[in-house]
Amino acid sequence: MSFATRLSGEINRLISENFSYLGAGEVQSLTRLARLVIQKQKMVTDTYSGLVLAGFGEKQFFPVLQSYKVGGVFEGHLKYVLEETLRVNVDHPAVIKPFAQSVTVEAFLYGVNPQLYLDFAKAVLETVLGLPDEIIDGFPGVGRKRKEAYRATVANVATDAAADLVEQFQDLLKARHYEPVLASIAHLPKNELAHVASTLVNLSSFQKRVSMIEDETVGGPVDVAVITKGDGFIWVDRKHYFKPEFNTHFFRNRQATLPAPAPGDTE
Amino acid sequence: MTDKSQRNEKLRREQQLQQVRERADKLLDELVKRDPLLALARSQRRAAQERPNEIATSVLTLLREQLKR
Repeated sequence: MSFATRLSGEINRLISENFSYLGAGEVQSLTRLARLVIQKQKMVTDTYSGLVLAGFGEKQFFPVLQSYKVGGVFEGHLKYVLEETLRVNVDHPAVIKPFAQSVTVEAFLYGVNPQLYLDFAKAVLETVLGLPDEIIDGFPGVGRKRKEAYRATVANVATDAAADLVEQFQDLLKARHYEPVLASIAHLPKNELAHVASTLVNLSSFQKRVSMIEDETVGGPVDVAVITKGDGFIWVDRKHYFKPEFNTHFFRNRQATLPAPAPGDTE
Repeated sequence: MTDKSQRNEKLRREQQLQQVRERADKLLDELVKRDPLLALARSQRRAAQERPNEIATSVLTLLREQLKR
């Protein structure tokens, strides 16, 4: 029996209890919606969370990152979607992947705020595609049919020119910003990588702090870890809910609970 | 120019502008396929514009609570 059939009574009861003011047609749509929000891959905005897994598999020499969207548990089944898998390899020696509020990091990486770039691309396309119309409309003493013929002639030229302009800008962004940053990341030592990661998060925090139009949704101490094939998971920076200098016993106690090294174990 | 011809001319220009916008959107669709930054920007824009469906969210919350019991 399908999920919807099994729970149709329950769904209808909840709808009539909570949305009693709706008509029959709306209730029917709502019943369908209740089924779809659970069964379909798409998750309703604000109802999901992100989960990122990164590291090395036993047989992997290069790190891999997978990001998931997790939308809750329904009847013992976790609803999740694998959004992206990024692999570092010989062809792609470095990856920088910001999550959640990523615009500031993307602006640093590409040299331009992505939203600004989208608006710029749209404006360029509309201007270049509309320019022939403006020019042809201004021809004095030319009939409408002839103008239409001119328009048809230059339409493809304008389309190619518009696309070319945006692509040239795109190439510049890659060559002058994105690729040099990635190239240096690929060669940075581990401590520098940790510094890059925490700086990028702090940059987002700072940007939100000084912005008049954004909420301060990034901030506070930043936890930083480095994962390597040889050393495993290493905390570079980790916040505690207490001041470590006032609570040295915490670390002593924790050390005492760790298993003693086996004879012959070396550092 | 008479009022009627002015109106017609205005209408024609609006239609022309609309056609340009449609062509620009179509071309942008093509460029997005080749440019990851444009693709990213557009998906972010769409996500920001997608208003949370309050009814869907309420139904989901109610269902979750019910299923937990």
